[in-house]
Amino acid sequence: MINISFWNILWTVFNLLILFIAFKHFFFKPIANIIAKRQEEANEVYGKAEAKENEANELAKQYEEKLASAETEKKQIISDARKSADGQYQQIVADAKANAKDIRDKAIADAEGEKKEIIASAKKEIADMVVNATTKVVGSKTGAEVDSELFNEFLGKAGE
Amino acid sequence: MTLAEKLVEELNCETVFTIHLGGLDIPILESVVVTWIVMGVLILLAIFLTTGLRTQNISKKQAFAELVYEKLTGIVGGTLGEEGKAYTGYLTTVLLFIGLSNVIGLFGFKSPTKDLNVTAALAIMSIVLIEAAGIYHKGAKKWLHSFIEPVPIVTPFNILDVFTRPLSLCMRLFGNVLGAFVIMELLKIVVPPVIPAVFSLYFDIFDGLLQAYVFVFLTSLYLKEAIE
Repeated sequence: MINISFWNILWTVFNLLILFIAFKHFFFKPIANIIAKRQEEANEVYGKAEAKENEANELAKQYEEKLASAETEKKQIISDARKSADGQYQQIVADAKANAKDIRDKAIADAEGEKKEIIASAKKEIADMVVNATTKVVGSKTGAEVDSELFNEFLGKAGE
Repeated sequence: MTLAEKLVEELNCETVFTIHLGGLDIPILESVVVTWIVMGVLILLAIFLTTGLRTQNISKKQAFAELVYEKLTGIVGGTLGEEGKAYTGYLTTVLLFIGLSNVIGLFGFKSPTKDLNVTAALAIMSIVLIEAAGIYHKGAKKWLHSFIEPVPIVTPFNILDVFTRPLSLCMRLFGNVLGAFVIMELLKIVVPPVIPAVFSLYFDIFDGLLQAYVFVFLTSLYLKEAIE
């Protein structure tokens, strides 16, 4: 009980050291290791999740930007198309007007020319006919020379 | 056999066998044998609890092992602080050892802590650890200087501390276990059979575990003081 025994103290010290080493080896280390490992795994999972989230955010941002740029591009294209269509329309209309005017002018000029020609040819024919008729009349009846002269004069005036 | 004789017989630590090593006779006392039993139980329990550890889908056994680990290192590490973290393992081992040694009397063994030599060894290891940790953390010069702190006049008391601290640790544990044992034996003789069982809850279990905690708590307190 209260006898001090050197050997007993030594044995107890020895036993305690053994127990400590055994506990360190069999209890503290494995559990500390497994807890650390789990922490590591959890950190890894969290890290991965965070990276994924960042990536997703990045992508969403990119898509948004793309959508916005597509919208403006669309507007640009539509307004461009409108402008060019308007110009073309004006061009076409102007061309058509000019064309129509040309055609009309030409038609008028043609008609005028033809009219003149017809009139000229008619005049000539009439004159010829009159000359023929007059010659025939003059051949048979000399008394009509005066009348022929008068008649020519009249035609000349009418042909102008 | 008188009561006194019976008590003395219960208290005596017999030499179980002697190892003859060369010219040396090394006696193995009862307390050492019981210490081996305590160690065996603790180590087997530790091995049982830490087999098949996994990081995910842990078994109930592992959950219990981790709980015990966290609680024990929490209790001990709480007093030690961040700097003394390295000593948590030893002090937790001591806590478990004293705790089981104190309650092993319930299973019919003589508590090793009822032997003064065992508590003395524990106290010696504590003071050696405390002073060694002081020298390691502060350096020899500062450690020596700590004896004249806060004023040189307290130096004798500081030196005395080196001896009184382990002595008080040793005697407190021994005295408590012995006292509890004597009271329990008396109660068993005087008022059997129900009342001793009730008191046993306090003297054998509560006091035993409390003294284990007190021993470790004081050691870690001194240790913290020494390494600061």
